[in-house]
This record gives sequence, C-alpha cells and structure tokens, in this order.
Amino acid sequence: MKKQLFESPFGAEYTKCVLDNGLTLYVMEKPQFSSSYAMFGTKYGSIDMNFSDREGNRVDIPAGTAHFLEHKLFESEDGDAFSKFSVTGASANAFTSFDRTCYLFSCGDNFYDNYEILLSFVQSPYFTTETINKEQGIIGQEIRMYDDSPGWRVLFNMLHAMYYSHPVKNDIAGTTESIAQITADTLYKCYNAFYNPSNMFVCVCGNVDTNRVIEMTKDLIKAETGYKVERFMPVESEGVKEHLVEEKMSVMLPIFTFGFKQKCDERLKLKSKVCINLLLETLAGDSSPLYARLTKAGLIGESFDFELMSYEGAACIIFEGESEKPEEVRKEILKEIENIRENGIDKRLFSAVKCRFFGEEIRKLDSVEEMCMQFAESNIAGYELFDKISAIKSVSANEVFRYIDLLREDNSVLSVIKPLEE
Amino acid sequence: MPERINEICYGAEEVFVKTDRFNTSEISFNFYLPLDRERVAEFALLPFILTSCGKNYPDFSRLNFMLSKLYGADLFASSEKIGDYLLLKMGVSTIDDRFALDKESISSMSVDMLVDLIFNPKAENDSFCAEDLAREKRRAIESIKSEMSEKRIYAATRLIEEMFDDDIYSVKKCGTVKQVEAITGESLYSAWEYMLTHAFLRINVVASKEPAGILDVVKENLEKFERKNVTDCSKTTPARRRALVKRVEEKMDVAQGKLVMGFNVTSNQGEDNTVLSVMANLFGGGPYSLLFTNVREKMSLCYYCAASLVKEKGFMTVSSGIEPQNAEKAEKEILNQLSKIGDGDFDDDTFKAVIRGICDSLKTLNDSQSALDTWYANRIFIRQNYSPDEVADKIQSVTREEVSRAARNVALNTVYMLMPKGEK
Repeated sequence: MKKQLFESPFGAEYTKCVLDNGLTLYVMEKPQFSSSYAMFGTKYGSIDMNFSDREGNRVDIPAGTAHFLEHKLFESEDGDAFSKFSVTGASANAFTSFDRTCYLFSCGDNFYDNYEILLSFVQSPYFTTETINKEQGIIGQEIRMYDDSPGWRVLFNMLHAMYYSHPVKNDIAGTTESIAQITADTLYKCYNAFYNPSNMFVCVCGNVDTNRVIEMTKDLIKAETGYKVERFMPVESEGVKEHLVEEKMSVMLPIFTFGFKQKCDERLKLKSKVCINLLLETLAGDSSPLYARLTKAGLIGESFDFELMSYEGAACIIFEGESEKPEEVRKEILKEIENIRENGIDKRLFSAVKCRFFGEEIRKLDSVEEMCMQFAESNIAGYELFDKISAIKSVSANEVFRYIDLLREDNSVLSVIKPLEE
Repeated sequence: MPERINEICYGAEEVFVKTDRFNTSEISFNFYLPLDRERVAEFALLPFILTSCGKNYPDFSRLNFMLSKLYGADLFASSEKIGDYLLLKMGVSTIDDRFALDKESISSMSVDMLVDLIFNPKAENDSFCAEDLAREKRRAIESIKSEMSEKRIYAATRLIEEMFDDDIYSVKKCGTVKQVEAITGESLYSAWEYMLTHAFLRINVVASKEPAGILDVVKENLEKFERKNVTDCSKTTPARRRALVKRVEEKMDVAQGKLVMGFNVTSNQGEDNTVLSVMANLFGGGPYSLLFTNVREKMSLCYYCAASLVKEKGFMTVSSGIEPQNAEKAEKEILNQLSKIGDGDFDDDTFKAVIRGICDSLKTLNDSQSALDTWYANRIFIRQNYSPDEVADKIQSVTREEVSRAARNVALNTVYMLMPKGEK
C-alpha cells in the first residue's frame, strides 16, 4: 500500500492511499464536525458504452446502462442497502453522471457501521430478470420526469447537435427503448469490467479516524490485482453537426445553452481547467463588462451561468440561461470574445477573479460532501487536491489569455427551447 | 451547540450560534412581515434590489467586483413564505480573516457592506433609481416564469393556490408578473420604509465570533425609523378543512402526469410538533418510508413519491410523477398507506428507522452554516429556541401511538393533477 499525507498552507490535510489492489482512498479528518460523509465511486458513467470484457471480447451496451446498474446495485441477495442503512440512521444515495457512478452516505452517528454497509453493498451485485423488470417502470418514470425538464432538454439538444458520435450526446438515463434492452447479463458484464478496485475510489471526510478507515478499507475491499478495463471511444469528427437547434416546450421564457466544442484527444489537465475557468469568469462572470452589458440590455437574468464540461474524448464550454432573445446573447458573447482576443484580459478584473477562486476553495473545505466530490474529481482527472489552489495562485493573465482561442464561432452550437405558440 | 439570543431593541434580536468548526462566517438579516396580497411583490423585491446596489455601492458590477476582491464573499438574498408571513432574508458569507493573503479584514468589511446596503439604498427623492428597478423587476419576472416552466414546481404551486383558495397563504411568494410590472420606484421605497418600521428582525450569526459592534450599529440604524406595530409572528391561521375533497385537473404539453395531494394536519402553534415530523417522515420521507417502499419499489408506479410537511400552516403535501393511467391507482395506494399508519399497521423496525433517520439528519445540520441559519430563521414561530440536537432528543421520545393518532387526524383536502394533453 502506498500512503501519502498532503498538507495545505491553511491547516487542512488529507491522507491518500493506493491499496495493493489498486483502489485509491482519500480521508480528510474533521474532528470538530458532528457528521461524516463517504463515497464509493467507479470511473464508469454514461459515456462508457463500448469496452472489452474480461475475456477480451468487445461489448457494446445500450444507453443508460451505467445509471440502471446504479439503481440495481442497491439490491443484494440479502435485502436492499436502504434497509441496512435504515438500521444505522444514515442518509444514503447514489448518482450517475457522464464519467462516474458514486454511492454515498452522510451520517451523524455510527460512521463505521455505515462504512461497512457501503463497501459491502457496492461489492455485492445481484441482478435477476424479475428485479430488472421492476426497475424499468421506475426508471421509465425518471426519464419522463427529465423529458419535462426544459433545463435538461436544452443541454442534451445542444450535445446532440455538437457531437457526431461521442456518447456524451446520449441522455444519462438512456431512453425507454434503450433501457428495455438491458438484461441481467448486460449488468454483470459492466459490473465485472468497471467495478474493480483499480477503477474505483473511496472518499471519506468528517469526524473519523484515518487509520481505522484505512484498516477497514483494506479488510473490506475484495482482493484483486492488475485488471484494467479497456474502453473504446468512437473517433469524434471535427466541427459540429448543427449550429442551431430549437425545440418547443411548455415554458414561459426561452431557455438557451450556447456551447463551444473543444478538440479533445484526452482529458484536460488541471492547469488547463483552472485557466479555462478563470477565463470564463473574467469573460462572463458577474463583475465582467459582458455581464453588465447583457444585464443592462435586459438580455439575461439570475439564471445566466457558464461551465466547462470535460470528459474522456469530449470537452465543451457552455453558457446557459433564460432570455427573451438567446440569439442576441450569443452575438454579445462572441463580440466579447473578439474584444478579449484583440485587447487582452483586464488585469485588475483577473486579479479579483483569482481572489474569488481562492476563497471558493477555502469555502469548500467547510462541507464534507463537497470535499468528497472534490476528491472524486481529482482522482478521475488525475491531480492532487491542493494542487488546484497552487495552480490558481500561480497562473498569470497571459497564460489564461491563450485559452481564448478555444472559443471559436465555427465550433459553436446554440440550443434553444422556445415557448409553445398558443 | 452554544447559541444565545440577544435583544437589540424593540422588535429586533440576534441569534448568535458560536462555532469554531468552519473556515467561514455567516450573518443574515431576517425581516418578517405579514403576507399582504396587494404588496407582496414589492416586499419580495426588496432583498434583491438592496443586495444588488446601494447609495455607497451605486454600480452592481462594481459591487460584484468588490465581492470578488473579498475572496468571493457571498452576498445572498431571498424571499420566502413562512406560515402567514413573508421572510425577507439578506446575508453575507465570507472566509475568515486568517486566510486573507494581504491580512485584510474580510469579515468586518463584508458585514459593514451588508448593513450599508440594507439601510442606505440607492434612492433619490424617496424613489428607487429607475435603471436598478427595471433590472430587478425583469429578474423577478424571469424567476416567476422560470418556476412555471419547471412542471414539478408548477404543480406544487398550483396545489397551494387551489387548496388555499380562500386563505392569504395562496399568495405567491414573489407575487404575480402583473404585480411586479406595476411596482414603481416610489412604491418600492415606501415598501422599504415599511419593512424597516414594521418588520420583526432576527439577525442570525453563525461564526466563531460576533462581528464587533454589530448590535450597536443595527440599533443605531433602526432608531432612524419610527419602529411601531412590529410584526407579531405568532398568528398563522391553520389550513381550513373541507367537507368535500376539492379536485382540480389541468392539461398541458407534458410527458409525465404530476399528482399533488394536499392534506390537513393538526399542528400545535408555537410547538415543535415532533410527532407530526415523525408521521410525515414515516409516510413519505426517506427510502424506508411507506410511500417509497410501496408506491415506488413494490408497485413501480413512479420515480418519486414524497411527503412534505408544512407544520406552521398545518398541512402536508404528497407529490409524484406518474403515467396518467396510473393516477387513480397511485392516489388510492397513497391513501391506503396513510390509513395504515393510522391503524398502527407498520413494523417496528421501520418506525425505529424513521426516528434514527430524523435524529441523524438533525445532527448533520450542525455542519452547515446555511442550514443553521435557515433553522433559526424558521423557528420564529416556536416559543422555545431549541437547537437541532435538542429537537433530536425530543424526537426520540415520540411513540407509535402518538404517530398513529396524528395520522388519523390527517384529512385529504385537495387533489391537483397536471396531465398530458390528449389524455382522458
């Protein structure tokens, strides 16, 4: 086992262990806290649709399988995990995103009992035709719920218009049709490929004892060595499929997502992510000239936001919100990008934005949940948590400026959900 | 958790939750006014316009720039309905001074800014500035429309409207689009004066230490107003019961049907009503609840089916997303599970799980400043200012019989259904 202690200049520290079986464990002690949080995750999300199984055969699975597996893993042969957590009083949950599936709990008392339940149920798959059929109805309704969510639809419409073949364009929960193809065999194949220690991580933060957590983890994670799943990502063509995509829904105000596709052969590195996020905040944050102009012109409101999405083989920068005139917002954003390209970054604003980012990192330390999310992100993206703070402090405006070239109009897509006509 | 209540002056107090566990400090000003159908939109706009600019911070971009310089100080505002009252909240959360790279005094600068924004608005001739007003009105309208676009929220709001059709509680927390459009600089200024003259004020501080001199500063500022007839927050009228269940069905272009049911519950004003909390949680709280295990897991009728209790107003709602043809079946099963609680037909393990679950969640509240802020802001109606840990102790002593009795006093009041067009 490889064990390392990471310390930050402002008092926080955490231990990272890589067990012999390949599992990575992060533990941050918060002795003054009343609660603790733990998360057991696998680097397996909705985009992992093509891979080779343990026998080396290529497997192609229907959209929504990772999410379906997440639902089904709560059931084991000896009862469901929720009923086990109900004995200890923890609040348990799970989520699936594009590139990960995570199982988690938060609790005030009985951390170690809860921890044992978490590690044990995630390692005890039990899938039968009967339980799978039952889940089709529940997930079918979850999909329907998202069908009615304009915020969700506008994003996936954009991804669909942006990507030719990358599976990021598929809805995380799949469709009613795609999940109907899932069988117990599909789930076991995925489980065996992706739920192995070297593809997984555990994050713990709260009122816990690091050594005890390490010992328990060593005891409870099944021994296995060396297996590494091979993924196949379709080769994504350059450019976007469509520049504009529109749909009508029962909304009161048009909703938009304006995205820029990035050329992305591999995952973005930490430094690049920090630079892009600093650039976006300087470009469109609430103290930027663009934000002031858009607000003054009545083009955006509270919901305006932006984000960098970055996964294996797919990255994009998106601006989103509600507006009577999404096309005008698009024009203004492009105008400001040109302005920065010509005149550079406002140094005063950039320095204030850096202060804000630094403060946000300190703030995150106050939440056991947020810390576990951060550990998971650092594990998947391949960096150490406190490196992010160092990167924020050290990066210069000139370095950030270079990333403005990522925002190219010919790689952009505007997705709009418009109100239905009466 | 050590917490203290300090009286500031007539109609104003401070709750100080002293805690060393955070890297940040949070302070919020909570103004309580009775719900007023005519003026709700004006009052609700106040927290937002006041935290967007001020006499000494005239430009909102500049204000945001300063907040960034203060290490991303989070200036927050909201308007919420609590019982028959409107809670107008304005606050700021900052990282502690010890983290400042240039030894700046982040927290005192942020608190000074907040106080200044609340008491010195950007106004001329007793009227808010037209440009700021236009901006904030537009934002408010966007937020009202945005809620209507999200059908789960829309359906929940429609249930309240229908269930409380003859009650002040049907007022929307931010008013209607029409009401927002009608706000003028003068009417808003008069609402601001009204708030500072008549609203009860509770300041919550969740931090390792109190901001120096804060109570004196607030007192001094409040004294500039003729404080009188300050809101008495103890007069919420419980939801009226109906002889016949009211049924409303609406059609819309949606993929999934939404079923929302409103129930009367018997709550004691000024009390914690721990029995009701246990009953509602057993009914439709966590994954161990009867609605989750039966309506979702056993019958596969939905993805979500959850109960939500509004103790101060004496009602509970259950909401679910379903296929239209399953609506009747789901409603029947929801009522069946409620009557099972009334009959004591639930196993002991589930009951114990509910108690443990609530107590455990209450304990985790201590680790979130915003959760503690909300906790103390919402306890304005309750005579004893218990901490989450103290309420958890009271939850432990709730019995099965009490819970069954509470369930027998629950009565279905209104059923609201939002159905896809073309369905029967």
